[in-house]
Amino acid sequence: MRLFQHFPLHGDHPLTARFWRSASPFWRTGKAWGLAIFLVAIVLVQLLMQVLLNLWNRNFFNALERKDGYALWFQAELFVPLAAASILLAAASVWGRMTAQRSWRELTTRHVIEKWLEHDRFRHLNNHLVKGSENPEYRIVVDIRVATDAPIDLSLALFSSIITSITFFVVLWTIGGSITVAPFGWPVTIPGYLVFGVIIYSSLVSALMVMFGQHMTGVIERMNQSDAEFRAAADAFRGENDSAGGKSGDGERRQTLQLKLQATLLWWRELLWQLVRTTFVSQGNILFAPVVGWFLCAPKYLAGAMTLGELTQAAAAFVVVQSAFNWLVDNYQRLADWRSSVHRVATLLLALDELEAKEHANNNRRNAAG
Amino acid sequence: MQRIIVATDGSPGANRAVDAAARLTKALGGELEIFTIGGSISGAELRKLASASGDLSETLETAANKVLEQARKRALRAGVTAVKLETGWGDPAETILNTVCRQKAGILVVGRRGRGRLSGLLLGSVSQKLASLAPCAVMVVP
Repeated sequence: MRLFQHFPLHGDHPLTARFWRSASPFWRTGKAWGLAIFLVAIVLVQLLMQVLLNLWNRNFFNALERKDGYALWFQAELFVPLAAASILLAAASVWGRMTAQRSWRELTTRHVIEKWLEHDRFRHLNNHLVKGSENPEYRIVVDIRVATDAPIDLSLALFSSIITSITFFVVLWTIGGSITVAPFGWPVTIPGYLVFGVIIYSSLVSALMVMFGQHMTGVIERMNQSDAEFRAAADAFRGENDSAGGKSGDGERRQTLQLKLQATLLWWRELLWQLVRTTFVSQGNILFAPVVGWFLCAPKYLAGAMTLGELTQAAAAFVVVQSAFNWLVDNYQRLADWRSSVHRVATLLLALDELEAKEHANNNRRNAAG
Repeated sequence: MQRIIVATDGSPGANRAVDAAARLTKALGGELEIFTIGGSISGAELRKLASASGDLSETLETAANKVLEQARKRALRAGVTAVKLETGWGDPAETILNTVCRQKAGILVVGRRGRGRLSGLLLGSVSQKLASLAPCAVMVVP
């Protein structure tokens, strides 16, 4: 599918591997593993809270249906610790994620800065040994942040989506049970029909998203690259003017600046249209997902095989599973941003590697001569 | 010496404008500058670039140079000996007006209709804007 074509391409591996070589030392520290275990534990407890809230939902609406004041009051009392625990967990998750991101960014940035400053390489880098290593300051400040922020958020979201889907599949299977339909006069029993319903619905939404946003990742990557080239052209313009004693730049450099701006604006225009197209699907999904859940449960509720509480519980579980299923389509903008940042950091590292190799070669030559 | 600027986007209307400007330059013994606005590319072409390995900046530059080169050949065929080429970026009317002022052009030659037919209908055509706002004589070629 074209949505995925921009992720693991053959040419990407050396760049991703080069980035990982400089970024991985963090994941060999005790602090990183401590934070990872803490975050996984938070996700698991958050899932437990989600299940408890889902059960609370069922009990609350059942009490409402029975007009049972005592049970309603009990549920209201129960909601307070549940809500408090959920809020606390969300806050703890933010702390854990951002601490891990900050620490990873710090270690990676310090490593790259050290490499950049060593033997005045930042001065020699102006020769642009590797195409795309322009504007190193931006790569160090912004791209390393993006490259180390996104993997933590995305991995946790993926892990959460997988275990949430599995857990709530069980919930949907148990509550929904089976349903008997007679499409052509022959009765057919579908076991765990809500599970099949959510899989079909989620697949449909994903397929529509892929169809409507098939060029999204490519456009985002190109736009990010264009932004970087525009910044580099502006920096080069200023730098060359400064070194020329403040004289205005010549026509060619002005043309380059205008050309890079035009490319950035055109990619921006294309991103706008990609977002407009995918908004039709995402907005439609926000409105339809809960309603589809209600409609799938309605026949059993009307037949008296499901209580109001179970109906709301199943509908809520349907939305939870459906959201979990959408991990990729919800995150592909961020994945594309992450990929372009990793590539930009990696090209800078490769340029620095090349300079380092030249320095070693010169030293060896001097030693041999001396 | 009279400086004549002709704006082109490579469309048939713009080609007629280039021919007219070339004949006028030859008749007046003036200088001809051919001007184009870079950056016009369709969404389909952009999406094609997004999923391939092409460079947009290069594509834009090549497209603009192609338009200018074609116009230059037309002008040379019409007998003009020296032709200056220039690419501008941004809003067409505004960019052409800026160039006219900067180059102190005596005559501006444009086609009545270029490629932007829909935007022309919605926003008013570039030639209409130029005819009203240019600080020099404007020749609109049908």
